[in-house]
Amino acid sequence: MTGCNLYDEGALRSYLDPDNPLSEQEREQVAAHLATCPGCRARLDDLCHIIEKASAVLAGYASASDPHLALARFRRELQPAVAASAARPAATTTIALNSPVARSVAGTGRPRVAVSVRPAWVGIGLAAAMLLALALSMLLAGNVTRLAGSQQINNPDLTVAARTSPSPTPQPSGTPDEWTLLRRRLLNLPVVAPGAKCPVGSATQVVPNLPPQLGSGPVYATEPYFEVDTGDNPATRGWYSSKIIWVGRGDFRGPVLVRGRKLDGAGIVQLQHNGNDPVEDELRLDASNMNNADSWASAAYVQSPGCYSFQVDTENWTDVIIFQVEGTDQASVTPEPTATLDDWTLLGQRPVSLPTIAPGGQCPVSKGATHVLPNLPTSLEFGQGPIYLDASTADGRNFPAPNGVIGLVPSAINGITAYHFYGPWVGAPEYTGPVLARGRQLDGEGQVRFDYNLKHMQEQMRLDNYNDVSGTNWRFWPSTIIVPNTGCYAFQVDGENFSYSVTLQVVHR
Amino acid sequence: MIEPDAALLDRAMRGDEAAFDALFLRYYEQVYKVLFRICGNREEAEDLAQDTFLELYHNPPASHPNVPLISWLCRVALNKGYNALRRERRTLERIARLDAPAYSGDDPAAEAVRAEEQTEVRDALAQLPERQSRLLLLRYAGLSYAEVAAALDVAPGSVGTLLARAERAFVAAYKAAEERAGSLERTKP
Repeated sequence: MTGCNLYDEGALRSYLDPDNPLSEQEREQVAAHLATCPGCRARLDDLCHIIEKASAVLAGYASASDPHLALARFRRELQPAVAASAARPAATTTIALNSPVARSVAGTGRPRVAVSVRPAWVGIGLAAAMLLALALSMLLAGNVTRLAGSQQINNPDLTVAARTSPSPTPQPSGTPDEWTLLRRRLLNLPVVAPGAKCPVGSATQVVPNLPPQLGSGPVYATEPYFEVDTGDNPATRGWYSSKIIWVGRGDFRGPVLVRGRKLDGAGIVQLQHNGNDPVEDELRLDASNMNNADSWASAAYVQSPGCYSFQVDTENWTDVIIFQVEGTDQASVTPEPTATLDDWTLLGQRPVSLPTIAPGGQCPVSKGATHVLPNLPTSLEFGQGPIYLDASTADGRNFPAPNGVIGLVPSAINGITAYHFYGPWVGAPEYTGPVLARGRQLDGEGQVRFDYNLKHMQEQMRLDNYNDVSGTNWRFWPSTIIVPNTGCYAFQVDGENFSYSVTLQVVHR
Repeated sequence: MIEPDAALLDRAMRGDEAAFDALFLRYYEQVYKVLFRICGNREEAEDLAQDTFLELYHNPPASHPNVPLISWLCRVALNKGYNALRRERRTLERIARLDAPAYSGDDPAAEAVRAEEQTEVRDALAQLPERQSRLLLLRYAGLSYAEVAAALDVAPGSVGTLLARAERAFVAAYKAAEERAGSLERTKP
């Protein structure tokens, strides 16, 4: 007999484990017990021998193949499958042209079809040749469509993924949902100079018994009429609001994503299904499970008169619906004081005050600092605080950026190819309020997009209470920053009582 | 700052290929090790590892703070590995197979010894209850106690006890396998 109470074998095993799964207190308890218990010391020795033997034969002999080679194989084998399912769209070229299989658009009488080429995944040469021949034939026929007031977008970033294969493979479960796929399309709307004529499209009567509708379908918006909102919702009271009915063509099925913004200045469009739903920056219309009424009631909110546009994304189409919001007599209704506007609106009203530098000019890069985060002293942070941009990693690879220069190679993200880097934000504990980050290229026209917090390709990043940095009171927000090209980029960071900017230079690695 | 799995997975689920690649490179070796010990065959282990990451690609796990991604991956890998064994219904024959030396050393004699050891290891693992062999495969592939617990759906506090039992059983089974191999060697003409 041992003369002492035998200790739990699991605790002894853990005590011996090189990964030290016991807490410091538990270790001390086991050590104290072992000092007084010969029986447990004998059991510990026995366990030690067992572990040594098991480790000798179980650990270390299964040498892995090179993970990079395995990854290359994975990518190689994955591509055909993904191409078939179109689960992860790549940059595509879209050509708008006439086709006998296309439907006719009300008000124009011109049918159209969008054809998508996926260079990496389909026989590019054959497909391109076929598309080129088709496009040429249509051009010669003089039928290339340009819709007044409702524009078909021809932009590689705005994939209009018409199905070129007769029977696409069903999308496997677990791939990004339909809304996510639609959301990946960049909001790509024209810019209208302040004071210039707003290119509003003509409303037509596509669907009877409703106000005239805008758009080229397959989903149309009834012509909006905006007036100052005097409702109970403090978030929108004082804004201009309009009821809008969205109607889908009878045979249309599928998800529809509606987003928008002001074209002749800074301004957002907020959307709402009905009075009880949240006001959001997008409207999701699901035409897959409709009954017989192909329509959805909604409301749109804008803050000021001007020229605005919706971007309507469906599976196979992207449509732009431009409309004008005019000040009315009712606009003289005194808007609620700014206190009723939410924090983001208040921060968003601050102008983005970033300099412009000539192309090729010296980029006034910010200098990074280490020892900002208490538990990650080597992490590299940019900014004067209390919010910092952490730019010390990019896709798991370290890159030296203490001088604010980031070397990147363009790669796929959200269905487009762009320069992007993982740039989380961290917030010191002394500030707990909202933070708005916006950015743009200083030496060019490049726009900045943020991918964060289950939102993505956003023009601005809203930092609210998200994650705590483990073991500290610091806040942490994962984000990826996406820019279209190399150049000098600045990010303005606005909080309740501070505003500063961080400037980084993106170079090709 | 090391990008957390959840952030990488989040980005990967939204089409960021680089994020998925980072996860692949981060965990491939552990997944492969688990599968190699089940299959005893490099090619099959690689195939099943590819399948495991394909599962991640197409059916990523819902974010759950209590289940580390490596636990989820290894659970998928274990299921695929054992299913492969069951499908073929020739577990013992497969365990005895020596067609994939793990080390690529130049010494053929050393390779032969190593291959024999592998056979005995898999023979010993096959003698254990599957739960114990799974536990050993995960722990010796480098998973932490918490990750093992999450993968096998056991309480983290019980991992030490279960591990001690499994190791004891494994060492006994391995000695028996060695003895069987030795007696076979001695009976060879």
